[in-house]
Amino acid sequence: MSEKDSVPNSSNSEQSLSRSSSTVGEFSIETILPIKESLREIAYSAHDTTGENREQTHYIRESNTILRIISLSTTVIAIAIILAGLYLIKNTATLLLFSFLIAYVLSPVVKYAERRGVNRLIIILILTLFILSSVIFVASIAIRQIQGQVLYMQSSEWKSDLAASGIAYVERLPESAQYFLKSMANVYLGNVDSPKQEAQDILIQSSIDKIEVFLRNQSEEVINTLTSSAKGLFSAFTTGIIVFFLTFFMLNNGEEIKKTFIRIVPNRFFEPFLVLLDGLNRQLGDYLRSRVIQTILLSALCAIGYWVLGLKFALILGFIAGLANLIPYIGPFIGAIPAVIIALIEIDTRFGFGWSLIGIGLITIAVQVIDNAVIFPLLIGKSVELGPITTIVVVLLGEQFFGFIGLLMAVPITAMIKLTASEVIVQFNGYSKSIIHGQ
Amino acid sequence: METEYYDGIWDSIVGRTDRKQVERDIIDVLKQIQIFDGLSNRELRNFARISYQRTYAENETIVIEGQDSAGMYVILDGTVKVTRKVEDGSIITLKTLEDGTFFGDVGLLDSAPRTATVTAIRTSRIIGFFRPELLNLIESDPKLASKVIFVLAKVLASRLRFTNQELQKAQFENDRLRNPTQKTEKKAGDPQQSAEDFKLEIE
Repeated sequence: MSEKDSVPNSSNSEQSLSRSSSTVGEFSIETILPIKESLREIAYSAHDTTGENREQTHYIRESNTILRIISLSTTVIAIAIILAGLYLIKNTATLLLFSFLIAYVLSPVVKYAERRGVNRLIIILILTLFILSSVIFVASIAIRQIQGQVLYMQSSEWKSDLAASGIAYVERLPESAQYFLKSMANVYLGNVDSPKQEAQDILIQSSIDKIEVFLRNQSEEVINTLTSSAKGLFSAFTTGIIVFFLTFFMLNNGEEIKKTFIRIVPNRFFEPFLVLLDGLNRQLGDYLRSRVIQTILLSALCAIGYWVLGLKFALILGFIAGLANLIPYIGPFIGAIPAVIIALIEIDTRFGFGWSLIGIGLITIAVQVIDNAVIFPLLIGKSVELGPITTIVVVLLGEQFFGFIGLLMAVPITAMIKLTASEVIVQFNGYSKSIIHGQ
Repeated sequence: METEYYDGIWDSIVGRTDRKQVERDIIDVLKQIQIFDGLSNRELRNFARISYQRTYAENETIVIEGQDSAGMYVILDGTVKVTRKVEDGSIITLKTLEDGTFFGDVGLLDSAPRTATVTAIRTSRIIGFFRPELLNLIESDPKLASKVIFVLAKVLASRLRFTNQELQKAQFENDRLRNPTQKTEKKAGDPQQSAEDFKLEIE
């Protein structure tokens, strides 16, 4: 150790040693550190080299700026190429991502069951088959409903049924709504000076005629749309099977896939990569699981609220509302739409139509307040929150490129990318520092 | 034949490397290492499954001083040198390690920066065992995990004992230089006491 180098550390060493000397008694620092230069001498020598250093620093800074620009532009180009590639294979990428997310969320359940002595393969099969059967169940019900609707609309019965149900519907409306309809009939059909029932009949008949004309013009399109939705559901069914297999293999061979992936990492980055992977695993795992728990809690709260209101399908409506909550700002309102539609159709709810609507509004607001004040801060925390502009932009981009799934998953995926990027930066900085100091 | 051990990228991708054979190799070597002698064959196999085998070429760095640590390494075959950068910028070699020895074990317990750089001085086949896997092991196989942790604790305890002895010697030497006349009195018991005080200070 040269004397010059030892001096700047002397004050620290001195402090720590004098601390220890108080207990050790005769422990003397002079016997260990021969200090020959004073701080003043060091200051003088440092002053001489400052000018020279300044010039060097200037050149280093210039070359650093150029390097930074090159590295930044390379990164931007690389990201653009990756995004373009992802867009080209967006369907496959979506499937893979979806399966990965399911496998990732389910993996703690598999580990837990394994610890309890359940065979790994059996628990994975049970979990994936449960998901597959749920998808098939929902898809088959939806397909049957839509097919029935298409066949019904192609028959001639629907018009008379529509008229009958329309009249029945108006009769069940409150007095004020019937009065409103009567006024509308007066406005649109001329001065109807007739009993209330007649006014309603005229209004309904005219509306049905208009609907019929509209549907006749649009019938082809309507039926096509319905058929294509049925086809869409059928493709969802096949997608479900693909997701089932992907999830199954990801859960079963996850560790092997991870090991193979790690094996191709060069030795130089091996340990930092493992540290990074561990950090990511913890952060992303926590985030994803928190979002799943948040969705389940919100779904349960909404479902309980809708059940109290006496709405039909309260559980499904609650789940839709909970899921829609993943879409920021407008999500809760989108999630409440199906409940409003059900309240509109099933007019004889426990508290009547008007109160049901107010109830749905109150439930939506109350659940939002609970989410923002308790669930989100407790489960997820502020660290992964995105700014309002980022949120809106990513939601729009998600919807544009990946449709409804993109709309739903835009914020969680962006938050995961944000977590990944920050973890990579932290690890990279630590690694570069260790390279500078260590070698 | 050193090249036989080289795990090429394509071998990894197409899975040509016989995993079972690799596991058997690892178990054979682990059996010979003192710290693993309390583990059964099944436990050694489980241990081999959660460890990573890497091959380092001559002069390739395995861990870098100052870098966050993530786990420990066991040398299956090969030779490595442990170096450290001292304050004047020069690098000193602290130790050379051969087959069956291990290093970086403290890194398994905390993520503090590495205190030395380890470089392969000939092609070396090394297995790494890392903290995330140890934490998983604690949950999935607590019996094996506690055995591994106990083994680590024993290693750390023996190192602490060695450090204490060295410290005691240094302390005694220091006292002797400072006060040559009280040489005989110090020998009677004071060095022990002051070493104890010093330990408390460190804690």
